[in-house]
Amino acid sequence: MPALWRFFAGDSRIAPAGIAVALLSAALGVRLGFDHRLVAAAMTALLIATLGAACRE
Amino acid sequence: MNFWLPASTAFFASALEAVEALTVVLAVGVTWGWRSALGGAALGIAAVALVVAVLGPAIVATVPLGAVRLVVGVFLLLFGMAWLRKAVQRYGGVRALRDENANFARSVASLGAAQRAGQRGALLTAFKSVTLELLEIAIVVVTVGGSAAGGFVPATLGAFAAIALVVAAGAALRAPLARVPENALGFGVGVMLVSYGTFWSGEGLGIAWWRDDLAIVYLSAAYALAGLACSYALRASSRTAAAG
Repeated sequence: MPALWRFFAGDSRIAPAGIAVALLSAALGVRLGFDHRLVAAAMTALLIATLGAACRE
Repeated sequence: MNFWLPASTAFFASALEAVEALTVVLAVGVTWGWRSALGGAALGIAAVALVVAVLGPAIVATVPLGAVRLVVGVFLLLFGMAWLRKAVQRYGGVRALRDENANFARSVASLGAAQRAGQRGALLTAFKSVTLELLEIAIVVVTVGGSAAGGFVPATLGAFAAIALVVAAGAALRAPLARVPENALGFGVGVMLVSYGTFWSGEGLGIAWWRDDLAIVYLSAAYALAGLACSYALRASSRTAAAG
């Protein structure tokens, strides 16, 4: 199981956490009735920030 | 008119979904081997055939497509982010130093386990994507066929024609893709997987993307630019560290 998880998530600790934050924020945004374009842009921006942080890890 | 309208509607909608599945299968095939990619795709086809045979037209009401999209999207995000990060770090000059140690450690300690896990993961990735897209095609056929005067036959034929065309295109792309440099391929695969992961998980959460499926194009462009910017930043900081 750890080997399978490493295959999917790699050796980054930031990436899975950042993805979780981005998706939870998007779910909350949709639930609260924000404009979908805004929610999509915020989710993508959080994922790009996650990529940037994970690359420096 | 009774034949061509539902057939062409199902053809174009199915071609779009089939191209999405093909992209992931090609990515898995080129990077992890065709056995896992084609095995996962075959399992996906069998799973959807079983679901369609059991549920038939009730598929539209029964399959929780949102949940399926979310699960597949999260896996693709995790998988794609790991690929993209690795490729960016290689372009940035960070990964190559670490890899020699990692390769040595892997070959000594756990090559067998890692390879087995890799094959399983690759098979699972191809399986999930093919299952999701074929389910969407099945729903297109049922929706278009159910509302057309000619019944399900024109929509089914349109969908099969689209799948055949996309599979033929995939077979033709296999050889040229194998000649692309490894890290460029890893970067491209990472960008595509993260883009599809973002799109599908967003759809699973209920987001209506601006311009629908075209979102894949601008998401890919955004991730590619971000990846290139990260690799330049990494290269610049490693140069500064080397000079200092």
